[in-house]
Amino acid sequence: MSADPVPPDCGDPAVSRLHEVVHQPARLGILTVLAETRRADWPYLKSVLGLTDGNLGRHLEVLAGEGFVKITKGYEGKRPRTWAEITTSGRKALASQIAAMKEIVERFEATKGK
Amino acid sequence: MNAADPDAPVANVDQLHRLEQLRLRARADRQATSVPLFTFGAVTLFFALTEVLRQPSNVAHIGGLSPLALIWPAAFGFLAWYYRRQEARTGVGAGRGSYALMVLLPIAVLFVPFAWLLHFFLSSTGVAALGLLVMALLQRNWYLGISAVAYGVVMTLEAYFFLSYRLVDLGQEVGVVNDLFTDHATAVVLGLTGLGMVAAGLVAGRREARES
Repeated sequence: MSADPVPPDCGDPAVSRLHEVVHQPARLGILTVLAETRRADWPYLKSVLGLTDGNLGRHLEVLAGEGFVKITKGYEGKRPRTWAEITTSGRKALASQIAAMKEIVERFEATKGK
Repeated sequence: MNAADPDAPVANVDQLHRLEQLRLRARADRQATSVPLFTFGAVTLFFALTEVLRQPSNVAHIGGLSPLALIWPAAFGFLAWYYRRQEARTGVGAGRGSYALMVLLPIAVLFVPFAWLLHFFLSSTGVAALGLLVMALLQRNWYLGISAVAYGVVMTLEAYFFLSYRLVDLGQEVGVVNDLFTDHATAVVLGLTGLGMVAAGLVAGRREARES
């Protein structure tokens, strides 16, 4: 999956700032939760986002591939435990995404009023 | 969702709303607001109790500082321990910043050159409130931040007995002043401030329970 902003040639600066990887709703959700908690384990992310193991794994893999989250696997006693932690670039990507989304909404509201 | 879609702004509104709900739920799950407020409330009520028992004047002071000042590193240490335990138990991280680092703040101001001025003007409790404010700002927790500022202002004023003198003045105006009232005016101010923090913690706790 490309990490290029989408769509690249639409001419709207706010839309072109939207990030294809981050814009996906489940991945936006993961980054939002992690931005608040800094890190969270697999079962918590699964329950709070309502995702299946397969979905969560795939989305985390994509985010980790972009360097937006760091995955740590370990054991607590004999129980395996997987943690996801947001990185600085993940925080920046989320902040820029939310700012772009808000800008689009504000512009839409402004044109609707005219 | 395609961002270029004409419906994208509407979808973005829904998405932003959903993200805000998620953020609030994660904040509620980690009890980011109620636990620090309860902790500060409990410490302040303890101060009020020691004021009633006249402990500060009986115990030996270390270099002009009350040993009670060491309660703040202990309080931040408790918060660090609590969030670490919660993370291990529930899988929810403690958010940005570190209460463990804040343990060092009330100690550091005693030893870092010129930082003692902060301690001198704010009192150890004011420095602790500053630590709580730093955590609130790092976590963008406005409720906690406003509570920390209000607490810091009240406790710093009371470090100069400003509020207890006003309370005694008020007591004189309404004619309820006696020696007992005058002696315990500071304890009354500390007790009310502690109860205020506990009440703020209860409000935050109810909101966390609702959003969790």
